[in-house]
Amino acid sequence: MISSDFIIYFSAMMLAGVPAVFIGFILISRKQAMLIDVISHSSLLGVVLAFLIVKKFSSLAFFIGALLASISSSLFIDIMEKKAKIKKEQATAVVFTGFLALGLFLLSTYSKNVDLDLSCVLFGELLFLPLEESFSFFNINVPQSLVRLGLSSFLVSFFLFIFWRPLFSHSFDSDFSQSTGVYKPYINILFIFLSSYFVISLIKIMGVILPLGLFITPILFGLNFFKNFQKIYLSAILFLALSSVVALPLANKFQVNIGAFLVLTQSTLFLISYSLKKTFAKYSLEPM
Amino acid sequence: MIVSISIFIAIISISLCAAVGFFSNLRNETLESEMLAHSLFPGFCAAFILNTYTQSPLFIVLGSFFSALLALYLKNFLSEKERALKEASLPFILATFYSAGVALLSIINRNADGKQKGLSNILIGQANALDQSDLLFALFSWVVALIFFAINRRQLLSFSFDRSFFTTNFKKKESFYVFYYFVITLSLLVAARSVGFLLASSLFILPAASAEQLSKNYKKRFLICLLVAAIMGGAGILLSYYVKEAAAGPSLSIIGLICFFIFLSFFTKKSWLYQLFSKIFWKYKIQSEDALRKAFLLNEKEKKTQFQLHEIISTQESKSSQLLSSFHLKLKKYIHQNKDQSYSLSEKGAAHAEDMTYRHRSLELFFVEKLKIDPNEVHELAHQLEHYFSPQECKKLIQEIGFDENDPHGSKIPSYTLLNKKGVPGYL
Repeated sequence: MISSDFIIYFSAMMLAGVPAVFIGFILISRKQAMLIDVISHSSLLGVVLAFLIVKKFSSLAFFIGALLASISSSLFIDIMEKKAKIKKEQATAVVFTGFLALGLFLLSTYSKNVDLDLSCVLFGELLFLPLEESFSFFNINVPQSLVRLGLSSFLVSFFLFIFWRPLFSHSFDSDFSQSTGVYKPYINILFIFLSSYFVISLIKIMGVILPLGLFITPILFGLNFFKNFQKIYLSAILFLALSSVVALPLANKFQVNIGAFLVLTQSTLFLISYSLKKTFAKYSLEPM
Repeated sequence: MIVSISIFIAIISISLCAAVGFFSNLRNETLESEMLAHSLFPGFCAAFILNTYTQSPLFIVLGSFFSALLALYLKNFLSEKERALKEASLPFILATFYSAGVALLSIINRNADGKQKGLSNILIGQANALDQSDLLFALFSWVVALIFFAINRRQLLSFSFDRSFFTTNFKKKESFYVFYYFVITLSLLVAARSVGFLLASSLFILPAASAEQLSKNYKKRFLICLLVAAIMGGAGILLSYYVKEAAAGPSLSIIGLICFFIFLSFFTKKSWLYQLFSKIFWKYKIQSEDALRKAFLLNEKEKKTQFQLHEIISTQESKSSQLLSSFHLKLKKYIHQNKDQSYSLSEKGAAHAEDMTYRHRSLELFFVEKLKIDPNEVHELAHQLEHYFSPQECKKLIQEIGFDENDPHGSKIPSYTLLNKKGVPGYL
């Protein structure tokens, strides 16, 4: 029997997955897979700074603060790499540990009387999604967060669809796309903006780690089997759906954190598929 | 007293992490420690559960070590052939192990009924409340690390500097790897006690990264790395002590971050701050020297010793730039203001202006006489180059030519005077 909670969780996963898989594909082919980690680590600083400025709880201020902090962290990495000639990996490591340390420092110093629960940020509140206030469409109750998630997912997908060609060509052959004028520098900033926006809109619902699993594992599964982009994308979405169908009832049964269990299921499924492919690879007809 | 003891313990713990992180920085695998720090988390929780919800150091070390080894094997398994996987394997493993840890933590929270009390410290750490057991654990880890270094010194160095040399020249690699990652695990656990799993990697990354800015010699770099670790320990604990309610772990990392940016900005010639300042310095040096030469020409041609600022400073520059260069001229005491609001050159300014003219005209003479350049073209060339030649060099050019009365345009070349450090003629 399919419960209504299951439908809500499942639709949240799918709504988040549609743009996330695309962003993950571009990040992996640009070798920037750590960017999601950087964004989610540095958003804490933005939230704390926004709280210090506004002095009350306001989702909008937190959102804007987190967005600004994560965009500035990824731009900071770029500047350190290009101007100060520091290796990319080192710049990434320094920037995101630094942002996280600053955020935690300010959090512990100034917000003593405030209930900013760290575990809420780390693990997300996906579990409480069905308990929120809800709108009703045609006798179906839809939680507010889900509607918001749907809107931001639609927006991000729309912009990604418009800038599909330059992003796609740049991730395969950056020199060619720049020399033909398909790709322009502002598109990079737009892409960073979109991915930060989407990760941050996910963090409230899914915590810090689940986005990493959403953005990267399905695409790895797709890349494992196909070379055509459409096939990779479709198989990644199917993989996401399959893993949610497997994970959500099990997480409910064992009563563990839903997001964490989803990532674990995805990783297990991916590893099984990867090792199966490795074992059967020698029987392939494709010339090496 | 309590503060000095906790500073002592923190310095011992952090310097171990810095020393271990130094070698992974040499291998350009800075983010490895971040991955390992996250991958210890499930092993830690699993050891806690297996040991019937009590914390024992042996179980925790073994559990963390096995989960770190599992993460490393997984990483090698994934990044063996596939190019795309090589980059993405790191965040993949990070997410997988961290979520396994979170899942185990939710089981612990359900079943441990209060026994997990100290466990939540492991996420943020408690660097200002380290006690004797932490000191003993850190010292034990130091001893293990030193034994490892004593046995495998050559292997470690070649592993860090030249992987292909390492793979071709040494046997028993597997035991080396196991021992090496055991040391890393121990130091990560030490870091987790003091700053927590969330920031553990910063203790590995920041000292090594700041030391890399200062020196290329690896022995010097290693010492600087330890020094930065000591600064982090001392200043970080003091910061958390004097700022109200500040957590100690993040304060340590913040001090490390400040060290990194100071080293990056001030101590190297390729640093952005040095380049910025040298750019500004040259811009105002050139502008003020041009202004001085204009003042000299006014004096020479129109016999004007008093002038307004807009007569000597180029009006093609922006307003702020004009203001800054006039300020620069006043600051260096090249010009001084008269009673009727006009300006005139000081003794120092006059000497400098004469010197500039000497350089300009001798260069013009050299270009025409020796290099046979058309006299109509040499003015622009000399105007640009006069700032980069010293008067001594110009004197050598004059000696090469042999005579020095007039420049190609018929103006008299001023006599050569050696300026001393204060900018005043040395023997006048």
